[in-house]
Amino acid sequence: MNIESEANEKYVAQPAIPSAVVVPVHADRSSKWWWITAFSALASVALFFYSRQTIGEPIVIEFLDGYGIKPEDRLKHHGIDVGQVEKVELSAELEKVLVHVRLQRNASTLAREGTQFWIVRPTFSIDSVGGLETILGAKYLAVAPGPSSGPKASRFVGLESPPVASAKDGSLEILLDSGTRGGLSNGAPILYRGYKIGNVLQVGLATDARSVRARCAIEPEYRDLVRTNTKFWNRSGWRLNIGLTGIKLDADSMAQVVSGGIEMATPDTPEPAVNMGHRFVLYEEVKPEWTQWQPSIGHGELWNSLENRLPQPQRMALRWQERSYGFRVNRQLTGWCLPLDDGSILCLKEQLVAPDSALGGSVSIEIAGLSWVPTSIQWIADSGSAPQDPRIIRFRPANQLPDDVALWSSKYVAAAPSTPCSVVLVSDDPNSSVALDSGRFAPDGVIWSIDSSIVLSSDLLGVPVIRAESNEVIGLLVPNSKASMVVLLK
Amino acid sequence: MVSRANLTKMRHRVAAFTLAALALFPAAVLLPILEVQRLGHYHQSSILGGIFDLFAHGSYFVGGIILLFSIVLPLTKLIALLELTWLCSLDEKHRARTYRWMEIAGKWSMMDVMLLALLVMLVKLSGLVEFHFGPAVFAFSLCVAFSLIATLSFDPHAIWESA
Repeated sequence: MNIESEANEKYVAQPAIPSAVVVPVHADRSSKWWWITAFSALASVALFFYSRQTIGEPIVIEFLDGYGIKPEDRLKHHGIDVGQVEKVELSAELEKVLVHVRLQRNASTLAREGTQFWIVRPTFSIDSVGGLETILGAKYLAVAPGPSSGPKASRFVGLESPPVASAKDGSLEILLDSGTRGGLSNGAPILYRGYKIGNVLQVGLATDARSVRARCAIEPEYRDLVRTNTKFWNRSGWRLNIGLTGIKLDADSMAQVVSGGIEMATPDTPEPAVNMGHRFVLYEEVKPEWTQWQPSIGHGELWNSLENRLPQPQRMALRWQERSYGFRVNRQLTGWCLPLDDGSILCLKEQLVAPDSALGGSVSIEIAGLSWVPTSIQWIADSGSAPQDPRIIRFRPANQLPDDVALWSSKYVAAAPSTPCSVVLVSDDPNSSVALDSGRFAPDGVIWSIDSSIVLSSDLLGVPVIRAESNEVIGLLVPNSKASMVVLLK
Repeated sequence: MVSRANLTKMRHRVAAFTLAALALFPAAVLLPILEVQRLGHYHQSSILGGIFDLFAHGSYFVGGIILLFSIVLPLTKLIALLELTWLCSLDEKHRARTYRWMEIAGKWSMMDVMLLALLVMLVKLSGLVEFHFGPAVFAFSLCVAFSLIATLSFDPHAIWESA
């Protein structure tokens, strides 16, 4: 009993189940892993933000016909991707095709009012056969950006065909009336001697419906060719002559066959140039004498700015023979020279004097179909050129140049101003003349070095340099692949 | 013997990783994950967008399977984990059931498998088409990693210990 109670007491005194231990939990309320959560949330937001940034603007373009355009087709500008078609759907009234395009981010400036979109597909029209890449490859959308100042826009109406090139600034717009349309269409070329000088902007009925009126634009550099007595005739497509000698098919170009063309001619005695909006009759047939006319009309933008006076430099070649490894080798230096009205010719010294290595008697100089030996040429001791080491030579050839060579008035040959001025370099093609600003020159004695960023063809050796203000020849050009320069008249 | 303090710590850790995975989940699913360029065609697709494409092309079965295994089940698992460790809004009986669901959902959630599939595609197709990963791939990999860590660190004892 006693033992039992003792044991019982012992049992009570030593409880088998330990009592709960209180552990402070407050220290662990925040885990050290929570920064992972914060980081992930930030990363998630950042990723959304990033992909919003890389994705460009969405725009919608309405077309009347989708021509099979489909999602993932590209929007191209100058042949480069600037966007992608995301979705093509019909409008609610089932009348239009809505093309949803996502612009690339760097092309978001295209989303402006005035931007034009069209679907490029194979065409055989206007001036050319175009869009051939879309026969096999995917069709694509093309874009012509609107003015950069335009307000933002996200909905556009697409064009059914590529926009007709609007007339260039300075173009001459004229109206041609004819009895019938005669195969003319928008964009048809206007030709002068078979050379394209403009095109038809629009063909439509005249307001009184008595004639068909074509509004045409002549490119700025050719506007002087159109005179009040100029004749225009329709020259659409081809002419087929079947005669005793056989069949003669006459077609100028594929473009003309497709869209028609207008040919023009100006009489040998041209009347004054016309102004904007002048009306001409467009004849159905050409009269034989029209094609014989050969007026000489100066043209080109430079022609106007230089008051119809342009030097016409002549090609000049210096030929000589040299010994190279024991063999005789022909050498030549070609360039330009400027014939003056007093019978002399202006050129660079290196164009006239063969190098010392030239074999005696082998040197010849050729200009305008004539050839001279150097000894027959009379150098003019001109006070104008630097006396001791002249870079520019004025010489009188042994016999006169042919009559048809244009001569430059020696009144317009002058010493250069002491500081560089704006100049124009003129070769025989006025349209390829180069205008150079005064800031491009570094004066250095009798030469002006030209900024090395301007690369001039070595073919321009000896081309006259004209002062833009006074139209005077002030020097000749020496082109060089590294740094060209102008040698001045003194 | 698992101490209560350790359990609480574990709960917080699991909750932290689960929340991190959940935070990355929308980015992983909605943002473009693949950028494929082939023969002038450029295609960008997200996981969800791909599933919608499958539905649009009438592949309801495949689309449904991908939707289930790569979006619904992983999400279920993450939410269940979050409930067990953080929210604790259910009573014990329901929590046990939630745990069983979570186990099942975890077995069938195939996000990690999909990641592997993407990698295989990268290796296999890199010669044929121009192939880039989009921004979502970053979110997707982290999401997979965090949800794995959360699952591994989860100790079922927490179910029977009230928070």
